[in-house]
Amino acid sequence: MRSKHHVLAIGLFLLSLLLLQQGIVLLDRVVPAFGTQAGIIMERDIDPAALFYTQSPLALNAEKKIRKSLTAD
Amino acid sequence: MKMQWSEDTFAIVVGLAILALAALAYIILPYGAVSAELALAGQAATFDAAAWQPSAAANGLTAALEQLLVGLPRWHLNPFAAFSGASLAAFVMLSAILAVLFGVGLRLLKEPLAPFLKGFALVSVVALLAYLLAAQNEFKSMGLGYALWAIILGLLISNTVGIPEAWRSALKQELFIKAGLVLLGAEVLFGKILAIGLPGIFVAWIVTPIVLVSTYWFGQKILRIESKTLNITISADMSVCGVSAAIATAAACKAKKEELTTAIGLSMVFTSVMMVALPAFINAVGMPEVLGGAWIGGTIDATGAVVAAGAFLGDTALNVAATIKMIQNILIGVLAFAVAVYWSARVDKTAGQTVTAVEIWLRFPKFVLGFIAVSAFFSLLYERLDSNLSIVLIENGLLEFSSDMRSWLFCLAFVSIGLATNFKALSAQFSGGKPFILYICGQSLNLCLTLLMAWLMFYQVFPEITNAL
Repeated sequence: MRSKHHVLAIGLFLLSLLLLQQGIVLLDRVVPAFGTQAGIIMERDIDPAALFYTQSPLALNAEKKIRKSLTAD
Repeated sequence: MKMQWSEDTFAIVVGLAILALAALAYIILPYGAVSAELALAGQAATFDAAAWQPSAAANGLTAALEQLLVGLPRWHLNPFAAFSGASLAAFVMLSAILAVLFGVGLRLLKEPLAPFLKGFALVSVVALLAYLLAAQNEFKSMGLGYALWAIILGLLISNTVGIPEAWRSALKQELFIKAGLVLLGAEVLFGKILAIGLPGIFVAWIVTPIVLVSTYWFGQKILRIESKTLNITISADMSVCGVSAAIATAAACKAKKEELTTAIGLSMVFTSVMMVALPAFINAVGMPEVLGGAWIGGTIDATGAVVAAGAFLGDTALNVAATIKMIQNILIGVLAFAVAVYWSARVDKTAGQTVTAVEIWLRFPKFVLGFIAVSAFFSLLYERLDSNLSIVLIENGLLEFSSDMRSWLFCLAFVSIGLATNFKALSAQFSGGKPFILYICGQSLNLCLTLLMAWLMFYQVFPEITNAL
């Protein structure tokens, strides 16, 4: 009986993963802002889950560009 | 006198051991080669970062270290497409090395080894699955990272099939977090706070503490949140920089694992929404890029989401947003230290008790000292080296390795938290919806104050800086 519950819980989890993934696909299509953002993230290879600036090459470059702009004047 | 090992001292030793190895591979060996080349070329020679190649000795060691990094590529529908022989080999090697490292620590702490090793194997496999889910195309584009998946997978296992009681000795979330935080210290480079001059300091270092203290006060006095540790963890998570600030604060004030989970969950949900909603709003109202970038950088929690939101507006906004967020990231060192001191001196005392310096020292979480010492050392080293050398050896070398190792340790910690938590204890955190209200009210204040300060600094006080960007 317990193992039946476990299989059911794991099955539901996998189903919810699939639904979440399809939900995001739908959201990207229906809400233009989400679609644009998803496109930018893909195109520029951004990891939106990066926790710290050291994990994002774009963040590291941003600082250098800012310093360059400020010292150029 | 025989040394007494504690989890804190062992976490510092593990963090320092990883950093020492990384420093040998990425700084000491390559620097020796560069110095010899410059000495041969004469005094007038300068370091050419573009043409630089590491020596053979350094190359061998870095190649060996890089084989340990578990990195999975994006995948869409077939998760097996993310796996390669190299990534699986990296996973096995890294897990084996960490099992040995933490196994030694367990023996020093006089805990049994065999059940730990079995439990650690499970924790590592679940961490790999969390990395796999985080690499899924759609999940990645929404910023649903490994931290969230690690907790969810851990919760799913512990609340369905469960794990053998003996294996629970491997759920060393505090040890993994503390060792990871010592590694994070290397990334907290204090020289970076000057990157954008005074406007950046005002937006990131003046507004943030005001929002943090006000939110904490609001949680205590108005919402009357029972747990001070939950209150400060959510306040720090929302006002500073999301998950990393939540981890540092929770460890410094010894928050419960359910409290850290709550703070991380809130941060991830709101970050996913704000990452799209805030730039869309900025675009709609026609706000200038510099102001919009500064607003995004000061308010959205995770660095990656800040970069994505900034990129939505344009390159100038991206650069300003990411730089403001980076300056805010550095605040983590001060935050962890301040929270640890405040908790040791004020919160952890009984009413009417006078706390002596010795008692503060005894209660103080010692790993914070390791974190601060590492941060001070690498900040000094970064400033002392030639700027090109700092970028090549530290930023693109050591920190790339240490940040990947730190991520893996955090992932192990989140899996352990999930495996040790039951839904009942977690849902109790949300009773009355107070954590939600705290986050929303704090973030609203953050949005207002950051926008005001960014406008004042970039458009009224230092317009010349805005013009130069």
